[in-house]
Amino acid sequence: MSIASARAPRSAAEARLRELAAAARALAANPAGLAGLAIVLLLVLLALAAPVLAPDDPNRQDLALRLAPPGALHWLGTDELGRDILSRLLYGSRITLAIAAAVAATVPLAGLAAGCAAGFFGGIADAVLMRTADVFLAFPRLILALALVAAMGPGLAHAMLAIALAAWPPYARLARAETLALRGREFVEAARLAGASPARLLVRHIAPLCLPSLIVRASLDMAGVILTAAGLGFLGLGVAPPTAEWGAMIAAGRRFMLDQWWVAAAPGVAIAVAALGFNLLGEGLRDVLDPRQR
Amino acid sequence: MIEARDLSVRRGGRDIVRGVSFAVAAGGALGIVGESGSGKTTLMRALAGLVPIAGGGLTLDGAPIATLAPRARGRALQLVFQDPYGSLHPRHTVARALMEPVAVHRLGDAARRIDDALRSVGLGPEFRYRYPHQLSGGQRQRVAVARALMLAPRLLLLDEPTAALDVLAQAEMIALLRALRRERGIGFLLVSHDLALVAALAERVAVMQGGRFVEELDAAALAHGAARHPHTRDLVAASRRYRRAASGA
Amino acid sequence: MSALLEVEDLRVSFGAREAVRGVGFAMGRERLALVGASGAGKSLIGRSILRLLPPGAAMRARRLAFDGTDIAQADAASLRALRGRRIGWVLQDPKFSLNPVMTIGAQIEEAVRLHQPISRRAARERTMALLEAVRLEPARVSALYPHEVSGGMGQRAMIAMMLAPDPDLLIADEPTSALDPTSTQQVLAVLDALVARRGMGLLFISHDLDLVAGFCDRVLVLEAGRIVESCAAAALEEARHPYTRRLLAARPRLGVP
Repeated sequence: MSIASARAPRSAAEARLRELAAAARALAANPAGLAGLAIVLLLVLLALAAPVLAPDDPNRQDLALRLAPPGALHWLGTDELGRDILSRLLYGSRITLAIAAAVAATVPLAGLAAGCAAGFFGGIADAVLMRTADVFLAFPRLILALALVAAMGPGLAHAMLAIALAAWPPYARLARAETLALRGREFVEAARLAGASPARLLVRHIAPLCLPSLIVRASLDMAGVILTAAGLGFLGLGVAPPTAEWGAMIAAGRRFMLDQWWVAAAPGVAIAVAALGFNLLGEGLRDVLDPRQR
Repeated sequence: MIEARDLSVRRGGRDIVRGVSFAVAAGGALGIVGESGSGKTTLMRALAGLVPIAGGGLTLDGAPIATLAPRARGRALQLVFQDPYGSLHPRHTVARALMEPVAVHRLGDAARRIDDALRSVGLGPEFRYRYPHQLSGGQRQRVAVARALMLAPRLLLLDEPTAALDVLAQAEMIALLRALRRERGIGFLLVSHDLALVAALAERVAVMQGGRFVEELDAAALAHGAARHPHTRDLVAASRRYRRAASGA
Repeated sequence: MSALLEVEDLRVSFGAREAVRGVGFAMGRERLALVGASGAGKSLIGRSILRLLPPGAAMRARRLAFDGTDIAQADAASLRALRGRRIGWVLQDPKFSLNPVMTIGAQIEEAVRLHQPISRRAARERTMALLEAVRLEPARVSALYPHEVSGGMGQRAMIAMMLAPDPDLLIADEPTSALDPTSTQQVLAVLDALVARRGMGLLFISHDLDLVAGFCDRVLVLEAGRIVESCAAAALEEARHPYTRRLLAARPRLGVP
């Protein structure tokens, strides 16, 4: 009656590929999502190719040409130490994306594990995990990241860790809510009747269904992560200078905002565009992933 | 084979099933008819082991079912759920869903078992890698039956197996279930609000009301007015075609 | 019998797939059954009449008229005037069609006042009368929430709500499919009495031919989006189309092995 295509898939891999293709088509039909995807991909490309694309060494100072406006030699001008802003922007994108990637790779999974366990087992596990999450949630994200970095010291790894620690609770909550709804469903009971252990039920049946909303959340969250990272950098708590980092670049350019606006504006626009890209991608993913599930 | 004596089940502090007794011989079939709220679904879930039994005894081949390990229980009886849309994992292919019992019980030869199971419910191998959202209600329910058969249970519990299906899919399911009984000698314990359906699939019928069995009789006798309890008579009357009060339009 | 509803060459498609292929029929103030398996397109026909098709559906018809008014070309305002007031619609599961956060009495009152500018007290009295007409205890049921009543009661409440504005046509889409036999009989009895008393047209959509045979005047059998048989309900046993015969034979009957 509702067979999707005339010929049946001949293997599990083929079936999964077809589902992915259908999802990709759905995403392609969503202009906002496509735009977001394009921006994010562009960002990744620029970050990866920075050594090749950057016209200049980002740390090379040319004090004679400090605060030069955008022109033929320096497309985005130079900063207060005569360093090429475009090159610093490109190298700075690597830091930003590294933080985003690190957070995206770890936080949703950690939240998934905690939330699924809490939702499935209930009782003490639920209480402990969720109250821990509540503690982290009680603080505004930037403040918490600040506090953690202040305690651990500045640096890229510490910034990543701080942001991750501040970001995980909502994922746990989301996974817990989904797990609570799923654990009473009949297909879970059917698996139980087949003899599946609780661990198997969680890992093979329930967790995979929680993933889509976590993925959507992660994408929408990236904007916030980027801003928090920039905030830390702005306050000098991210990577140590002279490494280029967008937030730090804005901090440095603050003093010249009125006359040499490009020093702060370039990284500012970069942050805004990156955040926008992830937001749009998240919206597109949400339209594609969520309604298809149930 | 399976015998219940004075079974009671509680849920939410209330007695949903009160003192139910019955016996089904190996390969036999018992149909339980009741309306919404009669407790029939709770009874099924208790038999399957999804809900704890509050009182009374349930024995399988003479031994109390509580002594059976969950896995052994799963190999003796399996449940087919009412809702074909909810009983299959939305992100698992048919093959994956059928594989679950095989993988958990570590019975090898998965591919052959899956193909056998699909064939026995009238679905060809082209259904192996389909997802539930690509199947019709009737096809999903057949997959649910195939899954229940994977562990070769001796008793199949069926909870309103055709309630969510249209009349043609229902007829196909009835034919399938009859064929399965004939070919494999599986016993059935089925629950429905449809008296005609139950009579078509089981030789004996028990009528459930308010958590109790109010009458138990032969299905064949039902049609001939053998029902004595008023509730049974009501159900028989309700199963007949509706008669209009006024004629003409 | 004047034609209450005229449908000519109705086609509904989702992209390349045509779900309803050139369906045509006319009905007056009678009980017409539209029968077919799931996916045959019968719900889509009901929705086309109300112009409430799901997103992605495209509808075309040579003629689609209700009491002389062209529905296919009507604008949103005229459609709103038709829906609810002159054409009522009862769906399958009251769990989903009744508002879960309002009491039943409140919902029916709201429906009453929506179509008639009357005082709250008059609306309340009308609500009680409607509940009485569908054989529900007015005082008790009007204070209950939808989750506190059984499926059959919810369905009757839905009927009461839909009949408040005294429509000319009632479209019932699988109204008893989610109910057990006793509730089905009760709902059918209520529909029977009300449709007869008010002289309404009834379009009864169902997958159960046996059910509608005893209830409706005429039957249209739908297979894969096309009408394959049209006959009087009383003449169904002599129906010749193989699909109709399949549908007739499909239902298990007590006493028939």
